[in-house]
Amino acid sequence: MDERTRRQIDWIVIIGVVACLIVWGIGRSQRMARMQNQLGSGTPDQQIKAAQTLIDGRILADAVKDQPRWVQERVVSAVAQIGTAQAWYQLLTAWYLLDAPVQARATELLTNAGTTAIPTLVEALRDKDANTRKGVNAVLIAIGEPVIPYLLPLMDAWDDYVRAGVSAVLGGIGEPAIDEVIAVVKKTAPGADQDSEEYLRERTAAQAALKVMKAGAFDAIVKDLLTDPNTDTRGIGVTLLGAIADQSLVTPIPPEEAAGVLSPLLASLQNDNSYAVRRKAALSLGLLGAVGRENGAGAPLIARLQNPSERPDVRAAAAEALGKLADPAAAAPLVQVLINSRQGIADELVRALERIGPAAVTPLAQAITHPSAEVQVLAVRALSNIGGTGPVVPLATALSTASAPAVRRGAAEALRARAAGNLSVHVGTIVGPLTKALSDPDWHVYYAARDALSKCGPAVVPALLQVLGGDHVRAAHMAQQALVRIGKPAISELIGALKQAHSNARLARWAAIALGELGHEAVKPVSAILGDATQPTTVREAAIVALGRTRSKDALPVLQEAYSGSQPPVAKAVLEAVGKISCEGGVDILLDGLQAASPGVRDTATDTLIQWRLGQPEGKLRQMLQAEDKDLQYRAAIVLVLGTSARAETFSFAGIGGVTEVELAPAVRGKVGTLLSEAAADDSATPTVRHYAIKALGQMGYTEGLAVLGELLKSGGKYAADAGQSVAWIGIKTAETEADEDTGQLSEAAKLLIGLLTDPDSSDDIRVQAAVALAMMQAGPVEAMTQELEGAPDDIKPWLAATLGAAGRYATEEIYETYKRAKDPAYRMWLAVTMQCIGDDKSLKTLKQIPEQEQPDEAKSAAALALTAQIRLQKK
Amino acid sequence: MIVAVILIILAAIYGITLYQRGVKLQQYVVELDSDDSAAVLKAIDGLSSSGRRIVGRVDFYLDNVRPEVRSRAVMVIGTCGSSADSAIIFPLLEGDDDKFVRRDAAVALGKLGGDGVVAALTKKLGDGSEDVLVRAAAANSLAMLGAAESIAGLVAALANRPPVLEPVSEEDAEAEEAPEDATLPLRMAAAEALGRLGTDAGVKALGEAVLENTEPGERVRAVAAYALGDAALNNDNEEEMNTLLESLLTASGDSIGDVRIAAIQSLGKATLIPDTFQARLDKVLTAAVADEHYWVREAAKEARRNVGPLGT
Repeated sequence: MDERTRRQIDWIVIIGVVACLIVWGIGRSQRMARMQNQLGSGTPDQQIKAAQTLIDGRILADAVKDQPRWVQERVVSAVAQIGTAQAWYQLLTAWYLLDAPVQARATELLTNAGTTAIPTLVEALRDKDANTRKGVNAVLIAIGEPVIPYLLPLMDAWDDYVRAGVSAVLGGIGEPAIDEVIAVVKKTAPGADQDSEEYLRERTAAQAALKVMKAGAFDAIVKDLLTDPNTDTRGIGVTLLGAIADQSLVTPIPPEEAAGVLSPLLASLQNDNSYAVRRKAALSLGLLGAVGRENGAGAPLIARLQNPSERPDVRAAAAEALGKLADPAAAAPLVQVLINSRQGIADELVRALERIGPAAVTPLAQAITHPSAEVQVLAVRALSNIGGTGPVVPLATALSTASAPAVRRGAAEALRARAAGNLSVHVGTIVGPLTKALSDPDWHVYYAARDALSKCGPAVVPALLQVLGGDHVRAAHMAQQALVRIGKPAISELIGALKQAHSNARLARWAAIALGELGHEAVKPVSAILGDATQPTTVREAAIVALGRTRSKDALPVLQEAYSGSQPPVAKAVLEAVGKISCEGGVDILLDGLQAASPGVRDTATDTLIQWRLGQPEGKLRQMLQAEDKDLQYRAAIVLVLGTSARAETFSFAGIGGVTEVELAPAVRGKVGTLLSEAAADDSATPTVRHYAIKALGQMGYTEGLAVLGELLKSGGKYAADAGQSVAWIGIKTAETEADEDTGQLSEAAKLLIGLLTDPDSSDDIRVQAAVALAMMQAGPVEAMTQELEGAPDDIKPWLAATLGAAGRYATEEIYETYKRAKDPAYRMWLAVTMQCIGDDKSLKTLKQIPEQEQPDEAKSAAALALTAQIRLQKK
Repeated sequence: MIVAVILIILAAIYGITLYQRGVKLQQYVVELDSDDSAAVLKAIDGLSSSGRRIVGRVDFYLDNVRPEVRSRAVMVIGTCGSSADSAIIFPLLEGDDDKFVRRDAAVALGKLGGDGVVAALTKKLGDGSEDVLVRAAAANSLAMLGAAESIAGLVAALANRPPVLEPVSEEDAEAEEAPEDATLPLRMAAAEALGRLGTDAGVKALGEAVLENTEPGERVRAVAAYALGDAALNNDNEEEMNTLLESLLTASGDSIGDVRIAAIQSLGKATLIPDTFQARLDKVLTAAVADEHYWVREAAKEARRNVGPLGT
């Protein structure tokens, strides 16, 4: 055959094969649709043939899915005609996809298949596909007794869905299966071919089956399980009775059926010789709820609870049951047991009383007053979890009378947790104990009392005001917070309290704080006081304090008006209030205050402006530098330096105890510095001005002011400490700015201070201030002081050592290096003393290596260390 | 030589396969009497595909003391056997104690066929003392065998219905319970069988069984309506078609949705619609498209597609 022909044949074959595959594929894809069409519209023979094909291919469910009702009907009819095990199984796989009426027909078909279909149904019960299992239970239950032998071996199956299905079916079959199921429950050990886990699973499944049987199982349980000699079996029996009769289930059995378990459970409770069984019987009785309560389960349980010779487990179970029965008649006995014999069952008693609810309040109220703190605590706990208004008064009684903090704490917290409505009903009775509790030593109590009082609302305001004006500061604070929490309804009475400022300053002060915290809502009523010219000054002051604390901008105009022409006390109060409000519009009032006639007012304005952060007052302050009033000039200079707003021009940080250094514009620096130096030295200036001026010199780093500062330092007195610090700040700043030059020269500030320190005429106070300043200057003066130490007199050496010690790590390296170089034993000893004063890691390690003979003298060390401590205490 | 060796090897493999299959079959036969449901199902499945030779290996189970075992044997014989094996099934149909065994025997005879099967099944169908499930199985089997001589029995079975109750008020309905319908499964099976077999008498009987005022069982009416649909397929007998269409058109107004579905869907299977019915059919289908029941509406749409344009 030639090549061309062969190639043609090859192509024909390939095309033929591909065509066949395509046709086959199309045919396969259409196969399902074809069979569905035959089922719906074909002849009866076609229907059966299609169904058989689907069954053989195990795809019946796919064929039925989303198909019309008539197709589903035909499928069921066809399966009925075919009648094989495989056909039934496939019907089960498709059952969940059928419409409800068709499902009913399918179920009936399988039921009618009878015992023949049992293996199929049981296998479907074991199928991993939950959808397949869906249709099985109803059929097996309908078939009934013949199914039982097939299901019993499955009770210990590994898969829980199998066991669940078995239990459901056996339970649904009911009476015919009961003997076998009971027999399984009564087994006390695994069977010959069973391991322990299988045995336990089997028993659990049997118990589940009995639960499904519900009331139908009662007789068998009572007759066979409750009379069994085995304790465990009897225990299971009583537990099952309770579980079946449980009235707390979503769908419990009818009460008349549940009442049937009462008698056997009571008999077990009263007569069984095993405490475990009695305990379970008690718990089961509790599950009966109203049924138990109405049929007399309470009295036997109470008797068991009150029996002192009964085991605590059983008594606890009895208590729990009584709680679940919610029998009001049990409340008093429960409380009696709580008081007299609660050991080991206290928690259960409390929970039971909580469950009983309002009926337990009266007996618990008696327990509240029992001498035992433990009883009180338990009673409070129970009352805390009982709703309504009933527990409120007993809780308040406990709060008021209990000596144990735990009782008062529990009572207060319980009152806090109450709804406002519940508290309001008894407000007249509880307000006394609650206000008394504001002064309780336990913080839990007074905070809780505060919150409870605030919930009581306006009715407690008068009582709170009484506490507000009382001697107990913390109670007053709590009362103030409570009033704020009460809010707007308290304002009018707080205003009334404010108006008593002339007679009860304490009350007015607290009222002002409260009104301030109430914020904007209080502005208008408080402003009305300021507008009333007949009000005494103290009242007006208090009102101003309140307005300031509101921090409301709306108060500014009122304060502005009050400031105009006011007396100094009022003016000061206004300025402080403006400072609190922190609104840009307030700066003008403060600048006015700076120019007030009264020094006290000026001081207040100065203090406030130093803290001021808003607006741009620098312009006006610079103008004040040119004022004729010297004091005003001083104050303007001070505020420019110390006021934070002034730092908006330039800004830098030096990390010295958080103090920030200030740089001023060159144009004003000289003027300001001069004024500050004058102020610092001016004896006629007020102390406030002088202190601030001294401080400002340091903040500025104004070296020209050293002379003045030095004099102040030398003279001692009340300005020496500030002067010393300012010198230190100046020195530090100088050291930083000259760091790049590294001249090795000691700064003027340092020279001044070292001079004061080593001057034999300096008093100890001056030395202390100088030492503090030197210690603040970090590494700057260290070298100089170290050199001084060598030649200084003996009475000065401790000061130098202590100052270097207070400088801390900044001195460590210098001292260490000097020690290594030093030859003079006395010098070395003092260097060692210095290391001791420094006390850091390196210094102490070095000390350990020093020879014995060079160790610091104890007396000298002690003196230096004492000075070091003193310096460090004052160092900032 | 090589070919001979290959042949010998193939023969050996074949022999071993046969032997293993034989062992397996024997195991299946033994497991037919097991309580292990999985083993039983596997055994039934395995034996059912093994052909007629199995009959001789399982027939001894027909005397087993356990009825479920006898049923399994009957089922296997019915699947694998031939008409010659029906003789061993007759005794179970006639005299077994267990109704399920008798029922399975009726089903098996329907698959096997053979001499005397129709007569035996017809007799069983008409036996009023026999359980309804057995009689229903007999009806199904007669339909499978296409036994036209059983029509009369099937018609009688279909007509054996309780009376239709008069409409009552709700109070009376609560006071008086409807009597149990003992022959419901039988009538349903008879209706299905008559649908397969066709014939005038069958269609006529089905025509009565779809009527709400004649047949009280709604499921029987639905099955009868489906059966009429089966009878309508490719039916060119004018008289039968007239009866059939008349009945289905009446049933399309049934108060029960499932009956209406069956009637409408069956109307769609009619291939030959006389002119006298076309207008009515069109009207019924139009009304059914607006029915409150979803599947009635769907059935009406499908019927409309199947019957095509109708002359109105």
